[in-house]
Amino acid sequence: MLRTEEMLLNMGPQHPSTHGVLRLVIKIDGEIIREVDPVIGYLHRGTEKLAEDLTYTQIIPYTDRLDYVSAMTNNYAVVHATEKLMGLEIPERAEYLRMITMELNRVASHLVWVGTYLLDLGAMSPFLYCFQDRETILNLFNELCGARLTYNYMRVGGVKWDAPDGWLQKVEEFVLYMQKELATYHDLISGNDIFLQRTRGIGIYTKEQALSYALSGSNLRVTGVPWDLRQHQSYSLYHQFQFEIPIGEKGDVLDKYHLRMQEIAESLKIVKQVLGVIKEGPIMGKVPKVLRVPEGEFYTGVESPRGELGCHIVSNGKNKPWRLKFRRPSFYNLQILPDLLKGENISNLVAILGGIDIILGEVDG
Amino acid sequence: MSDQEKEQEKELTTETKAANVMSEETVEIKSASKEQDVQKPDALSQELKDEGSVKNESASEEQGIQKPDAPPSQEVTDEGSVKNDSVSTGVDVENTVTKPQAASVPPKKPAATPRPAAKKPVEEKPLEPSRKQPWLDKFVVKLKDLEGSEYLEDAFINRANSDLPTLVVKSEWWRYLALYLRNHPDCQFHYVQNFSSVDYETHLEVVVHLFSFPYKERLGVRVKVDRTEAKVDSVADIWAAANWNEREAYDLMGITFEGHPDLRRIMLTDQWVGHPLRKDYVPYDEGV
Amino acid sequence: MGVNFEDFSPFEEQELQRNVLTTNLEQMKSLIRSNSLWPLTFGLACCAIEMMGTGGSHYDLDRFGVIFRASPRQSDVMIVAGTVTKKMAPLLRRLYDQMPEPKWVIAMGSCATAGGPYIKSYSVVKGVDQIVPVDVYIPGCPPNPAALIYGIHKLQEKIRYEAKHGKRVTIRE
Repeated sequence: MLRTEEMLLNMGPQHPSTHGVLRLVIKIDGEIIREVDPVIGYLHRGTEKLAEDLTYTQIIPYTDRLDYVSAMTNNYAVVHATEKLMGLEIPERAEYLRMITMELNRVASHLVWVGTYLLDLGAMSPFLYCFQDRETILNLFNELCGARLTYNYMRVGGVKWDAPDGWLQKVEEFVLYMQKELATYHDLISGNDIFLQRTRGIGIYTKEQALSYALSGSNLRVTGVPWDLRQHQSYSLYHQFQFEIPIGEKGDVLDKYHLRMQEIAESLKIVKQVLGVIKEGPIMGKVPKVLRVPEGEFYTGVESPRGELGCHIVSNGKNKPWRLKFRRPSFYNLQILPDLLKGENISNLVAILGGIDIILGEVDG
Repeated sequence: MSDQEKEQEKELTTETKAANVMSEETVEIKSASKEQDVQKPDALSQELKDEGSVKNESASEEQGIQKPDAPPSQEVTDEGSVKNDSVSTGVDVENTVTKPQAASVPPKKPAATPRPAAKKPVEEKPLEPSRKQPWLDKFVVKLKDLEGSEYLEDAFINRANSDLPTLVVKSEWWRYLALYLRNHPDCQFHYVQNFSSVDYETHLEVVVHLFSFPYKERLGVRVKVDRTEAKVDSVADIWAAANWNEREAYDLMGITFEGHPDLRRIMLTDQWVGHPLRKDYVPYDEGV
Repeated sequence: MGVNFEDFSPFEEQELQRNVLTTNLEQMKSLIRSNSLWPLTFGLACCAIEMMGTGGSHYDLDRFGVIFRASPRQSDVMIVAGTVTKKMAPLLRRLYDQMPEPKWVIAMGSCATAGGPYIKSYSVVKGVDQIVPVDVYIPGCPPNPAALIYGIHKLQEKIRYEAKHGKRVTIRE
């Protein structure tokens, strides 16, 4: 029998498949991974410290840059927490616009995931398709708020811009187009033999593990826990609309792929329903000129594409938070990686890591 | 590349340079920084005031949370009704524990708030007890039976946070309580929703928000930690999710978690000096 | 080769002027270099997503001869796309040192240019030009893909300009 020696392999921080600046120190024995130590913090920008010196409105652009793939949801997390703490009323149209943008952003975010994940596995063409469709969403956002990636769209009490003429029409067209287009994705990816073999049966974890590591979002739902804050904590106006929470069966990476594709479909469903009921009206509620949040402590979570995005505000009654802490879903989700990789073949590393769907800006804060 | 070349390069891309960093956000930040400078003395005086007020409070009742921010509470009295309520509810729980019959009495005594004189008129109208109050009362009775329950400082409903039951405990008891919350069949708080740490200048706090899937209950726990000797037992083996979070708190807030399997800095480099999220942190290499 | 230039008819001479390019080697090299810029995928933060978007089907960087390489050894230009933190700075320098000459750097976005929104942060390097020499700065947070393409064009222009005039010309007179 051939004897092998353990060896240390350093992956990242500059690596095309780590989706940013994640570094993995891997101890391998032949081709089997014995131990993995993720090293993070290469993108730690101190958002939480900066936020202590900023007013609540000024914090919003910083949240864009946490999870830069779904900036709308991040906007919403901090805006929502502030509104709750101040007890503000939000006009209906503003809430609807928020929901449309958040759900479109979820679609865009999952499209990025599908594209880059397939790119990691070696397939080039899905990337092109995904980014093409994502481009349509970005153009919609661009028209709405003048930015493609970092929107800074929401404000405490409402949204900054009303939808321009014909914008809702365009959204509807996109939804109809995308609902059809999903079939193309399934044709392209879901039956591909190489894809199936690379993803089936790897990266499985149990429900108990998932809860202990406090995973959230699709990483938790894939184990069969139907936990979605949009329904269970019912923020915004999500309770008015019908949508399902897709859950996984086996919990492998293939399940995650199917789950996220279903989530795209569900998001489109929500957008379509919202478009049916949205009416003209004000987009900003009554908000004091200087936002002074009453003293107290507050934590609330919203469902970002990656999981529970929480915002923990400690206020001392001034116009700036005393402490602002983000519960960043990627940070929690990444923790399980060493457990998943132990004993795996090294060729599965990228497939498992990509399946978790991390955004390093969010991991590092 | 020499400086001159650089200069030339800048010339080449004049248009680019002109428009440079001035995106909307950065402008905002600059104005923010100005504002902040102006406000600094204010914050300082506030600190001083806190020092004074703390002594009074510790003598009367441990309220913990809003302490460092004591002065602002006077100016917010009009909006403060929500917050006051949450505090007074807390006190009420303490009372109810000692004499259970009082549970039904609506909490309206301003009791523990350190400056009751200014607030009394506001709190005249009785507030309905929170819907979570009975649950918390029962829970606290259970906790009182536990060993070391004298470390439980307070238990109240955080009204502002959609009626979140909150416990305030001393650091010595945290690990014991955590085990109880995680493993006891009546609690089963398997899920860490949020793990945060706050610097109150008088003390540090580890704030944990837990969720129990079987009972669909949320619970906030605030663990008070001494500021100069910030030490608390690790719970990384109880909730796996606490592992990195404790490292983060150690790195940024400077709280040592005893018994943590791998307590290293996680966000910053190993040679970093200081803990940035502390309020008195001074960066040593500002220019870079 | 025995070609007698004086024997050409006026027509042939005209054709020659149209089809034959006389240049020096430096300029020839610069022409080739500027049209096959292979950037190192140095995605750090938000800008990386826009960089990917630029490489995607809609904006299609390939048509400028820009093909992303994952290894510093094979690349000519480093697009620093995103915030450079103090933890990342030494690694960035190392990657830059690993790139073969000639090499260029594009600072994409305001974070890489000067710290951007994070200029007051304790952990962010205020401008990547403190670590490596930068050729082109692209403003924006993040820059539009069109802005990135413009920046790449500017770099190509610079490469040709330098070859044509020699490096000395860059000194301000």
